[in-house]
Amino acid sequence: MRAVTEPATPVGAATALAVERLRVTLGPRTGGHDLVRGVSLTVHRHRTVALVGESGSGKTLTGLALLGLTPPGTSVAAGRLQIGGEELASCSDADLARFRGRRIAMVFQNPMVAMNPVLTIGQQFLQVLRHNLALSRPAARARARDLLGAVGVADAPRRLDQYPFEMSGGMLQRIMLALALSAEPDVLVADEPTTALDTTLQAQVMALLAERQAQLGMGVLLVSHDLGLVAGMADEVDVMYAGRIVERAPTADLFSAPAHPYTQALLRTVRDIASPTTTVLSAIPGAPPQLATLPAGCSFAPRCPLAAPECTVALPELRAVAAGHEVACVRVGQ
Amino acid sequence: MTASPVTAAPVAVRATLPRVRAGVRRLSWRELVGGGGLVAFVLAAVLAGVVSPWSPDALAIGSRLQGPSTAHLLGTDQLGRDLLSRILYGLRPSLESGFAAIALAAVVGVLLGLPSGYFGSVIDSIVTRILDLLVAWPAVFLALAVVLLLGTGELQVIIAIGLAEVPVFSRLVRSIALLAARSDHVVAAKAAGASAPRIMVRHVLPFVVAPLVVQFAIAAPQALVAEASLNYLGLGTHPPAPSLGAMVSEGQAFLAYAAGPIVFPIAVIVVLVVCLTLLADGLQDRLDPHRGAERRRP
Amino acid sequence: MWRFALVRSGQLLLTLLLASIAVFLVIQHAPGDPAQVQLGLTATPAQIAVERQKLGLDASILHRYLIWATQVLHLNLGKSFTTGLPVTSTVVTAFGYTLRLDVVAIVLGLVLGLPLGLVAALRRGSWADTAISAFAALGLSVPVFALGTLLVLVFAVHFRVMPAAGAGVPGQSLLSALHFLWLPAVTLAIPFAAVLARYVRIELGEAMGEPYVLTARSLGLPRRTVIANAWRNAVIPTITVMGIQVGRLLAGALITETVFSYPGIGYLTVQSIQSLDYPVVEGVLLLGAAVFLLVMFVVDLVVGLANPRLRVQVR
Repeated sequence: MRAVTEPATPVGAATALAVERLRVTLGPRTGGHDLVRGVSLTVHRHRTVALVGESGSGKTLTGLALLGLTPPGTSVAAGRLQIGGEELASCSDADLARFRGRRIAMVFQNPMVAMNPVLTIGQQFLQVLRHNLALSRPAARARARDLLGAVGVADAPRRLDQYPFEMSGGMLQRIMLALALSAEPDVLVADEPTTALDTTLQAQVMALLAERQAQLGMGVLLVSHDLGLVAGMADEVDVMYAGRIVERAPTADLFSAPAHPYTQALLRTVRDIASPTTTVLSAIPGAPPQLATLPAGCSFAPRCPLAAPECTVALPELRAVAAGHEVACVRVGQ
Repeated sequence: MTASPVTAAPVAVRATLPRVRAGVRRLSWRELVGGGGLVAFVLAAVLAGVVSPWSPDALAIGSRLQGPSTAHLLGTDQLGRDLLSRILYGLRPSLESGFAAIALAAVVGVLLGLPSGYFGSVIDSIVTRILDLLVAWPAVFLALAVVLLLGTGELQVIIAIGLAEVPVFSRLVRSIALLAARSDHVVAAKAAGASAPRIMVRHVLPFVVAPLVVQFAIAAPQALVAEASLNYLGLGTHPPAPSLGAMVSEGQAFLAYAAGPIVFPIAVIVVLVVCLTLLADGLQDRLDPHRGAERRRP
Repeated sequence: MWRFALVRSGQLLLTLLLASIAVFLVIQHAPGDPAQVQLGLTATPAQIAVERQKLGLDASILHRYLIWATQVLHLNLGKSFTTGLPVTSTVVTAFGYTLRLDVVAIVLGLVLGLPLGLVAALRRGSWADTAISAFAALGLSVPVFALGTLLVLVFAVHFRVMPAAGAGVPGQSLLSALHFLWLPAVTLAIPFAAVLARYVRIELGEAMGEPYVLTARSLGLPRRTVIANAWRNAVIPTITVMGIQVGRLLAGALITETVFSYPGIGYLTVQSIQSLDYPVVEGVLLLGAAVFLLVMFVVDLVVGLANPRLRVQVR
């Protein structure tokens, strides 16, 4: 729990990732609807920002958009995108393709299907290393061995000649991490990196991620719905709801003093599960919103216990309530 | 990796039992065009005796290989017979043989596949071996064997095509029966002391119906093509009885003088097959929406 | 892998044995008395009885099969009833023609089908995809004899640029031999290309949607590499489908060869059945079954080699 004692945004730390007003639109530009609705966030080097929310809140899509990997039929736009100190002209595929794998990389949810089943681990490393680092074949193989060693894979030479289906999920996720970090990127997007793993493996993989971060210094954007994981890993937590960030705070502040009614509800569901003496689960009433038909004003208002008439007037913007703590709710502080 | 690629099943075993999902959904354009076309062709074949302007066998040596005219809307063939009339009558063996062959394949497929999937073990192994033999060589070889043993004719064509389609139907039924045999209500029926045949008919067969309909629709255009092809090779109906495939092979010798005797029957076959294919795609979307229309046909 | 190859070889031999029994039984039970056919309609019953004994037709069925099988293994299938030529040489000559035709047809089919499937798979939903899918559906719907006769009508009768039938004369130049091959080869290639395009579209399209493609893209690999990697997954099922098609072609394209009176195995098959030339029927059926089964065997081995799961089991 490093986050407890350190400020969330240290002054002077280099920016690994900065994005402003990110939009992901499904369907045609006119008549389509936004799945991510103006997300702005910053990740500094050596820091971890967690993006949390229910499924469908747009957190994974935000991560994919940063690499230009959103599904077909969607388009991405942003007011500004900066990766590793370099400004991108646009979010077009051509612009982002230069950065993918080198400056920004991603680790996915299910390691068992994330690697090509008909290529050996070595072949997959070779392709990536030769393309991104322009290494010769022997040099790439030597580097692959080192990279596997760095993520704690024993017997690397043998592993390189094996196929993904010969390995366990935990092993594959280590290898996946090694691949993603092979070009020492400035930013790593980790999308639910341990959800598909056993509990004991989860801890190992997260410890490994923290260790590699300490060595390489990349900024990590941790996409997760697992608040327990987030509490142990992240310096800052951004809570997403219906394609927008509704609350942002240093991890300790968010857990000790959640301000947004949605965040409060989200945390209550965790505490209920954590303490078996509680018999009534306070699941959030109502269903997640349909993004195609959002009401005017705050998207959470229909499910919110504090909803008031003014909530349905305008979309609330993020505003500071404490140092580094921002909330998009007109009712907070009233 | 299947043991033998020839046995690649056209319909994969699904994790859950299929359910009939028909009902109120509006007809798609595929179903409308395909179904409408099929109805028109069936009507034309049934009413051939009424709507045909001429007898299909009426010879008119003086007016051979004529182009379309008011007297002969599509012209005449090499013996001066009216092409339109011959095509209308020729639709009969095509539709009859095609559908009879698939019906045969479906019935045999159920008879083999139901016990095979329901009982498993020895019965299953025996049936599977038999089917492996049927798919060990191209379907046309089966047809030749039938013709060699039984001679040429419409019934032989039905048996030949039906035999070639049996494995597909049997495997489909088997895969569903296999799942159904383990379902709760079959276990319950067993516990209640129902006999195996009764369980198969009452509790397993209903699950098979919708996939069978889809498979029937998929096999129909293939069967029609096979029927026309066997007739083209002279292994089907005996002359002078008209059939679309035979018309093409007879007309081929006179291609230099007239194109009508082959172009019109070919056009009818192609349109008929396209209609059946559209109908099959439409039915597949309706009854089996989880699988793309394209996945099924080999 | 070796175990797999051994098991498949055993299966191949067993199926070949069953195939030979099937061919033998079919011929045995075919209508028409071979002795009668051999001697003609004027033969007396006494002559027929002698001929039956000479042909070994009065022995037990197992005995007859063993005699017959021994002869088959010595490549002795007797003489054709119609031409009097040895069946073996007749069949081999015809197979040569079929092989020549099939090579051209398969090359054409691959050249046409693979790129179409690739384009359709990589541009899902585009007008090109729609057009290619329509071509594939039509290529599978139009009966081969219809396609063949239409090609004859257009290129041989109307434009007079291609011969309508035959294979030319023996000893002709390669170019003039090819001249006779184009139309039948295109007739065979179009449905082949249609099946191929359809399969590549489905398999590669599916592979391109797999998570490992997203991973490869996230690692910055160029589009060409990403597609090549997906292709290595899609090609495994495609080989199987291609193999079945090739096996069918080699076993004799009955209809196409008949349309063009092309003197290959398929045409010979149809001719021998129509004239009840049983020795030749035996020959073509045996050769067809053997070739088809052999192609399937090779396909299984190739697929096995392409599939790491199977390859790894031996290590």
